[in-house]
Amino acid sequence: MADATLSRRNVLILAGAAVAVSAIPLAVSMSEPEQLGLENSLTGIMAGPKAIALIGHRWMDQGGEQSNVAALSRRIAKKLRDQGWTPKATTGETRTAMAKITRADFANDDMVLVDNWALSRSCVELCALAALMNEGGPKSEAAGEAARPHG
Amino acid sequence: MFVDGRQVPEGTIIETDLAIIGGGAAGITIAREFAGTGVRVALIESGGFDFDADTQALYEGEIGGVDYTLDGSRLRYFGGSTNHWGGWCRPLEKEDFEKRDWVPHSGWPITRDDLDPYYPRAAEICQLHSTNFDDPEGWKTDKPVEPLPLAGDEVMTRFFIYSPPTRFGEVYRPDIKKAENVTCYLNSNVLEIVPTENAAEVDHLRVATLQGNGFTVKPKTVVLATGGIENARMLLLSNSVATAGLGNQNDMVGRYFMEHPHIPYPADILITDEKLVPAFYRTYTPVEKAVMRGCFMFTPEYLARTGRLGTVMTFYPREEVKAAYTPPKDGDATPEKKAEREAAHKLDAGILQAVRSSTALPAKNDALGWRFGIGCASEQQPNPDSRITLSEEKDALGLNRTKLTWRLKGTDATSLHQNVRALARAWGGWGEGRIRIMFQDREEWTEAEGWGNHHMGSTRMAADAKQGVCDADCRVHGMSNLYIAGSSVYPTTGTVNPTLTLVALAVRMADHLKTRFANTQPGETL
Ligand SMILES: Cc1cc2nc3c(=O)[nH]c(=O)nc-3n(C[C@H](O)[C@H](O)[C@H](O)COP(=O)(O)OP(=O)(O)OC[C@H]3O[C@@H](n4cnc5c(N)ncnc54)[C@H](O)[C@@H]3O)c2cc1C
Repeated sequence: MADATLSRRNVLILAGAAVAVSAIPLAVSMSEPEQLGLENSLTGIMAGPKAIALIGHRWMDQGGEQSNVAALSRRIAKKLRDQGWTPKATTGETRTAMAKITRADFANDDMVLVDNWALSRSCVELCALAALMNEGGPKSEAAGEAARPHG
Repeated sequence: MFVDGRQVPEGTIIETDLAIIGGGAAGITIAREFAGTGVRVALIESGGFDFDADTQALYEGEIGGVDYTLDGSRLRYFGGSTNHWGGWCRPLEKEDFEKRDWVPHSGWPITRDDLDPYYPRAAEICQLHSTNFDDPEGWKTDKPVEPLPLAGDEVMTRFFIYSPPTRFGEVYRPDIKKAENVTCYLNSNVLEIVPTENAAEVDHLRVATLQGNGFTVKPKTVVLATGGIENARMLLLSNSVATAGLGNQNDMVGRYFMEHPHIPYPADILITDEKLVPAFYRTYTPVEKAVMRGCFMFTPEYLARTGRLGTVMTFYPREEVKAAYTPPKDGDATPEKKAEREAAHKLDAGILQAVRSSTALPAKNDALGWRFGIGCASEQQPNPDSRITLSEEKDALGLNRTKLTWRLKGTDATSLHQNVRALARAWGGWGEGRIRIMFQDREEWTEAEGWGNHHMGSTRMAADAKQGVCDADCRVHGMSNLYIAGSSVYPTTGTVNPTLTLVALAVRMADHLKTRFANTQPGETL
């Protein structure tokens, strides 16, 4: 049974979302609906959530910022909003906004080194989000994911 | 014509107008420029037409600083080191000649404009079949030559053009043989450039063979063209009158030795689709009659803004990265090695999926992208403590061997590291790939990962005699008739291989000397 404090509306939304984020564990079900929409959007642009989760784990293991799903997704969302993005955006629109903030990171030398790979900070945050969402899942199965359809 | 020095009777005195010491790229070029003129030329070459171990051993020496190979990085026979050069050619940039505030001891006494008239001839001599080093649209092909659309204004695509590579000793041997006014003395080692009493003019050259006979050459003018290390050694060895050596009144001979540190593995590239990288970047690419290759260099604006030295980079495909890991079929690998490979693959796959989650589209199938390797060569800052001196050890001719103390600075490493970072910005901003920065910054740079066999700087050009060994015409300061040809005259190295520029300088010197000979009365010394 779901958390007793959740409203019926929230439970319905969560049930629907569970289909889209079946790989995402418990932490998400504690979120507010808007937060969940946000995470859904971000999950939607992850080309290989398990593969990029590995990058997120590497970053956190090497002392990169330790955070939580809500904080990370809010931070990414803020940058996306600066590009005109809204939680209602399609996956394609979210992808375009993500590309913009990634490029801006490179232009501003806002790079993070993960195992010496020079990545944009926002992209690494997305990877960390994937890692936190994937927590509890087997980290070592990062590779071998099926390709995801073009957004 | 050719004469074997071993057949020249002991004590012979050979009078000539122009003596060129060393038959390598520079020496042969100058001799050819004089072929058919009324000027008598003696080209004096240590080796014969083929490699000989005893002659080559004259190049051995002592190493002081960064580990290096003195005899492995040059060849001592007719044609010199072009008998094994790679043929990579590109002129220096305009900015390489300029004084750059952020590079101590930079600035040539000549500009790129001074050398521009001579590059086309140098390109011809090096058999390049093109001088289109900068302009992608200048290549006439079915498929346009389109540089990668990297982001920002820091990285630019430029072109190397390959020499076949021209073996100067083989290709130009018939010209020297045919030239009636040019005599090339083979197996003949100049032991000393002996000046007049006031050390202001060359009087004669002492020459000897490994067989023991010796003779004298009495020239009006001398060009020292024994290569980027030997030029300095030869001046230091010429110390019977000026005890510090010729041109060394300000203790400049041998200082500022520079190389191009070559880093075989400064970075890795992951790219979503190898087809995005045009063929001309990957390898030797025939276009029209030439063979070229695209490379990355750093824009003058970026270098000036950030205070960096230049770097040139080329890259090549290594392996495809698929989503699923398939271990290579080598049963011998240890479990640790296998695990390491699998982990490396997962990292690559993760990075490519991150690229495909941000700036590139998701993969349509299992193929995530490609891994490319990069090689690079970098400029080093001129450093007076990086130097050539004479060793206590003697060679078979009884001459002090070379002692090379090559030094790199921590700031040279910082510059290279930062340039790789700039490449990462350009590549990431484009969006289809990412860079792994393998060359790390360091306080001190005491070991070279590699080098280019480019010997530069130790008889540097400078307008002021206190700052260098030779002037803008490459004439030794304080001497009326001694010139230096070769990359030892470079005050700074630029980023690219030196031979095209030293050949251009050699042609320029020949022009200069022709004018001087034309203006000189018979019997007068130049
Ligand atoms: C493996 C390798 C690869 C290279 N690849 C490239 C490349 O791709 N691109 C590029 O631009 N450059 C390259 N270089 C460098 C290039 O070979 C040199 O820049 C060029 O040969 C220098 O020309 P030089 O005439 O000054 O000297 P050299 O070619 O070295 O000629 C000097 C000549 O002087 C003679 N000599 C020496 N001492 C005496 C003496 N005491 N008396 C009489 N004769 C003497 C020697 O026998 C020799 O023939 C490479 C070098 C090596 C070793």
